[in-house]
Amino acid sequence: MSNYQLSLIMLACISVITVCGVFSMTSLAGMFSLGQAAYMSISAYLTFCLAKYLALPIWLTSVIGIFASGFVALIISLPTLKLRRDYFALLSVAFGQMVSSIVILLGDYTNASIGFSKIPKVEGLVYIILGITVLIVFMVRNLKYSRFGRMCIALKTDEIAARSFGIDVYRLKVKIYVIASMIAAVGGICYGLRNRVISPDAFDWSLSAEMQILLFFGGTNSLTGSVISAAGLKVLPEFLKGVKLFGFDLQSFRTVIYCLLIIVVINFRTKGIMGESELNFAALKRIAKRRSSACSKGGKKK
Amino acid sequence: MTLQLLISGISLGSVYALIAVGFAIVFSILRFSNFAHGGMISACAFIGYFFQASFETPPPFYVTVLFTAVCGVVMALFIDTIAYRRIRKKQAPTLYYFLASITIAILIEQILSVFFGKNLYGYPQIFESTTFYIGSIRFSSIDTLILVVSLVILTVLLFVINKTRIGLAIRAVAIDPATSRLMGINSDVVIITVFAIAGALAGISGVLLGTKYSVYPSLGASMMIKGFIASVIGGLGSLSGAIPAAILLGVVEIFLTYWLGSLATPIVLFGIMLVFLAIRPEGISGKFAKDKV
Amino acid sequence: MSNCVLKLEHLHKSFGGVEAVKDFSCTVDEGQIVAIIGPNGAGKTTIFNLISKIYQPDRGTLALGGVDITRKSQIETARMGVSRTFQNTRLFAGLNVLDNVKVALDFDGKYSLLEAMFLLPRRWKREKETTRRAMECLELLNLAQYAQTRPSNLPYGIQRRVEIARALVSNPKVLMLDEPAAGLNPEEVFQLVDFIREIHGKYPQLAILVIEHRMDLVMNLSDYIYVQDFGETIARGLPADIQNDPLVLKAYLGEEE
Repeated sequence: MSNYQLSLIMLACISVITVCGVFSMTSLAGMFSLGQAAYMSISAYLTFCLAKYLALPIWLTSVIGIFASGFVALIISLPTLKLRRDYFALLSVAFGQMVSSIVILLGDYTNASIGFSKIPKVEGLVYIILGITVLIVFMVRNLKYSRFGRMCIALKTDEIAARSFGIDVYRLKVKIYVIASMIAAVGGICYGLRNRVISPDAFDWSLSAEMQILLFFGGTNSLTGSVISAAGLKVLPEFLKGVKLFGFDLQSFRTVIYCLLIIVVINFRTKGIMGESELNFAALKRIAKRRSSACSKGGKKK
Repeated sequence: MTLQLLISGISLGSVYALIAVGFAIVFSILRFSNFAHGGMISACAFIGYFFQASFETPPPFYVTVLFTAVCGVVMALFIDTIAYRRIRKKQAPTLYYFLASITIAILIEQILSVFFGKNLYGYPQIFESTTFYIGSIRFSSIDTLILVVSLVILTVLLFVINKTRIGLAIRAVAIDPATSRLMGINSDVVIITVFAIAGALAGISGVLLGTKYSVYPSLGASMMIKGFIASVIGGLGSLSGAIPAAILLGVVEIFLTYWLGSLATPIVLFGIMLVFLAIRPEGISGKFAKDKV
Repeated sequence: MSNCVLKLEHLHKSFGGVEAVKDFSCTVDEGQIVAIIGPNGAGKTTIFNLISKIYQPDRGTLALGGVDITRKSQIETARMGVSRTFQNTRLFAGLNVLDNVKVALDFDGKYSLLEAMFLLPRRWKREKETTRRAMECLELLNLAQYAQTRPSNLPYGIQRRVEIARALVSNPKVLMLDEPAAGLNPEEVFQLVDFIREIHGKYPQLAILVIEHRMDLVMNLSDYIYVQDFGETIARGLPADIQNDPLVLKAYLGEEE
């Protein structure tokens, strides 16, 4: 495969990783955030700066980066998740801005808006990223079909009813938010390894918004749907490169086209496209379910 | 110096107040965060710029402000029609409002950056000199203009909200939509009015921000964050809380920028906001948008 | 009474100027069915919300099995064995019937987030245990055939039963039913009364507290009845006494007379 194709595969994988993070947060626990890109930023900068300035191995700094993101997520979520969901969505925007300010403020180390490009080259990166992607999808799927997934769906539907079954809504939300942020952090590191350069602008709120939009496109409650749309919609515009329509380069209009498409979907198929995607993915889902029930049956026999 | 900082802080805060109120008024009625507001501010800043640039001798400033405000109203109603109206009719969950509004926000920002993203646009000079003196105190002309315009607009708005029939209807729907409908308030009219007010505010704040800073596609989005912070501190959805919170925010921001520089300021502001929310989550106004049991 | 499960003493709760509950006291014994009846707006649901700690009482004390729970949170109270249904069924729409029942056991699922995400052995074991308990409960209440159905696809009467099953699966000490017959047709109401009797038979230790505004339903179901009107207890006693109490008749039939 050519380098270009490999790079497309990585692009799709990174998109899948980040959307999986958003899935566990939005689809399961019903939290909106436009700050997930900030966690990508935190972990990516921490990982690559530590690797550069302290000459530590990249896998070690990655672990540090991911856990640091999780820790920041914990700090942010403790006061805010007690409040209404709206506060949380708004605060996440401000949080994203704060993180990029910090990155620019530490310009001596991060090279500010020009971008940090001293990222080591990793051999066989595409396999590593593919592996990570599969692992993350597997983990999020398991999360969905576990007691945590059930409790999340319960609290998303009806917090008061959830509490009356002993579900500690607040702690569960914090846990899920930290997990989602750590997944975003993984995505951030992969992003840096692929692009070999990271800049604060790359992780602004519109990237977070894009994740939410990709998630919605695939069906707000369907993991398979989100994964497919995350990969597909991210890679598709690459094929528009150089295509011109009325003298306009279509590639530069790709976000505009997507936005218009989503407006149409929201307007005319609000329930429709959801239903449709459920149908399309129902088969996949059923297989997944059958497999898990087969597994549990197997467990019973034993 | 302190006095000058204070004046310019209040001036900045009054623009934030325009943004925060435009945002809060939609939230108070429809209970969703209208992220598209920032996009509208950017678009209106551009509209104002091109309106002024299209004349050889620029028209008086108030003409530009009025023209842009009208454009803002038209745009807000258009966005309502294409993005929110059908969702509302279907009574879909807030999730869809949220998605529609961020989609519109990105859409506007992307259209602007595809066409105008490469340059910064500066409004033509309005005043001959950028500063003037009263006694020995130096005032920035632009800041003073912004302050005056914002205060006039806010006064008009408060009058409309507090003294007119439609204002009463808006307040009623904000407190209890179901009961107001039973009392015969036409919620469609209220919603359209609210969007029109928000659009006009976006238009005015777009022009004011454009004259203060240069115009670029993500101008609105970055300013909107300040509007959010102000309305969160003021108590989400509360107009009476949003205005003092916004002015406070402007003053604090100017002083912080003076002491710490423009980069550290957002970090400190965010910290302050987190602490504030942890201590007093219901905001300055004390009204807390609460879910019903 | 040594086997008193729930003891409420002098509960008060007001909202703004409205006193929703005034000086409410009541005891519920093990295996007893107690009903709270009264017309709309009598503060019945508020009493339930006070017991399950959705609201905190202004004054008064609550004790569960001898332990004071006045200052406990909603979550702690639920975990101590106070279980309830809601006036309009509040099943979790995104989960099927089995998962709805399982979710009531999940707070005590005894496997961690990491074990869940990596499908470690303990997750299988505990999940199997949860499924077994949930299925047992569904089977006991003859609901097993709906296990894989989404609640929204079930008739209202069945949804009510599923909600009761969800409240029962964690073996609570007290089961609170908030207007279980609301929205049901006469046939379904009839079945529901049988259903509650069945539960009473199958869980002999369980104390059941029912809110109803329909007298006929509670008369032959409950062991003891409290009658509320405008937040006050206007009568209390055995069903037979309540039936002939003039105050109760007035509260119920006053307007028609």
